[in-house]
Amino acid sequence: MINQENILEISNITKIFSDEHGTKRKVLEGISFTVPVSSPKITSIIAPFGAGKSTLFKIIAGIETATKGEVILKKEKYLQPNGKIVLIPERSSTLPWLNVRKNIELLYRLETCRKNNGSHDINELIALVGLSGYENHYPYNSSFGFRFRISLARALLLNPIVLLLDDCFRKMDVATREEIYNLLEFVSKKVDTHFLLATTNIIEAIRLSGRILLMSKAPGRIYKEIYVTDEHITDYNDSRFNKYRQSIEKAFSEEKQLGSINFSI
Amino acid sequence: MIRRMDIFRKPLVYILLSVFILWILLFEFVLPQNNILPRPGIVLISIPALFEDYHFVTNFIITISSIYFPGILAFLFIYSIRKYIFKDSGFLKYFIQFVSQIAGFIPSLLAVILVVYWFRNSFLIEYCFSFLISVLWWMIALYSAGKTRNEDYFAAFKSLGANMSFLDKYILWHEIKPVIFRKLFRFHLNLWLLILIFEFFENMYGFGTILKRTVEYNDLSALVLMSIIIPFIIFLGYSLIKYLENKYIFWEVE
Repeated sequence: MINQENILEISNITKIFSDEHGTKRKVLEGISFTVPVSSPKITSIIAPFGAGKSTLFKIIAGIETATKGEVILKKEKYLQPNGKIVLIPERSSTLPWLNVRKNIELLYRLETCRKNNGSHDINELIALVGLSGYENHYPYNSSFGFRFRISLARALLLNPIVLLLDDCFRKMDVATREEIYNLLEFVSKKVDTHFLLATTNIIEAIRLSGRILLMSKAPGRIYKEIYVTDEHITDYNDSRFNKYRQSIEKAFSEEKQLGSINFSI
Repeated sequence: MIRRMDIFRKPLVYILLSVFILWILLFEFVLPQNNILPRPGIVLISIPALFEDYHFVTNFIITISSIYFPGILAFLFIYSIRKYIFKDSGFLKYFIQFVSQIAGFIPSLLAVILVVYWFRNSFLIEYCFSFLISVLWWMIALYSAGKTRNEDYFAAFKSLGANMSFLDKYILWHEIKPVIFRKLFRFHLNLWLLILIFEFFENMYGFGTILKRTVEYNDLSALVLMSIIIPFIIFLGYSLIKYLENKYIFWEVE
């Protein structure tokens, strides 16, 4: 009964890598969580560096195969990437040889876009991410914020059910990051897509998401879940903000993961 | 965004220009009678002889066509099979790795001499040789450039539903262009040198053959003239590649 209400169900994902000498390394162990229909639009996964966030996201997006476990999207196994779960990776994925409009338009050449999903109007999307007037600009030499806006518009063109943001804001300066946080909050209210954000930054997670999953390192596993019930806390000195922060810090210190987590703005 | 042509900032060009000016000043005005180098005036006078006695136009066409025509043809061939090269698996992968390693051990000069020795007096072999060298170069260049790809592009576009054919055509091919152009400048020079050496030993057609004949006839004026003309034509080829790079490659690899 509960399964029927889930948009995304991650079930017992384990990933073991083998090197050329046959040595096996377990990166993810039994990761399970769900994103129910009723869950907040943005869910964060906080994990230390090297915990396997990117691997987990690649598995969820269908790019990488799990050694064990499965990804279920709206009651169906998600085996092949088809644009319903879209990943925006940590490094820029905007193409420097194409301008803003062409970066987005390129998706029209994809069958997944032609088939069903590409229902958004490009001009509307460009306006939504705040790039109106920059349609002919090239992303080369642009800020990480500018490039993220393009990646976001491009991802939303397919109208994905889940959008995975893999530590996308790490390289941005503080001011740009604040702008992008506001943008993401705004966009998440305008579209049906659910956002799953992987980050090492506690502040970012509290600021953006309604639900936070804590992930440990070596091997990565989800060990705690925190709901941010106070909506839209933008003041980082707010006592409510500190309440969540302390509870996450406490959880990490109990798991001895504290050293590799970012507490700064 | 467009990068300026930086050839004139290269110290080598300044050195060559200085040597050229020094030669004019020294051997035209200070030491007109000498046994070292001919007077620039004499070299200038020998230009018509270069056309009449050494068939400059025919040899020019043969050298240029045997460098650029097979080079472009090889590019088109490799471009058409690029997806197999990018695939990085199967026979082609091992072949490219084998050729790369062999190329590191066997000097190109030895290969030139062997080919000339085996196929003496064959007109077409120069084109075939140039085509073969170009094919191998393009193959290795694409293979190694493909290894430097940004995996995040692939991850992002795969999640959007892109297949390998899409990724090769719209992403990887464009992504490696700056790397390829960077390698192309050196290859352009290397191919010129190989063809000149080839023609020198083959002694049938081309600039290399003119060089050999000038040495045989002890024609120092023609030799000096060719030593000016050949680098100038190579420079024109370099400038053309640089122009194309500036026009089409306006971004850096991230």
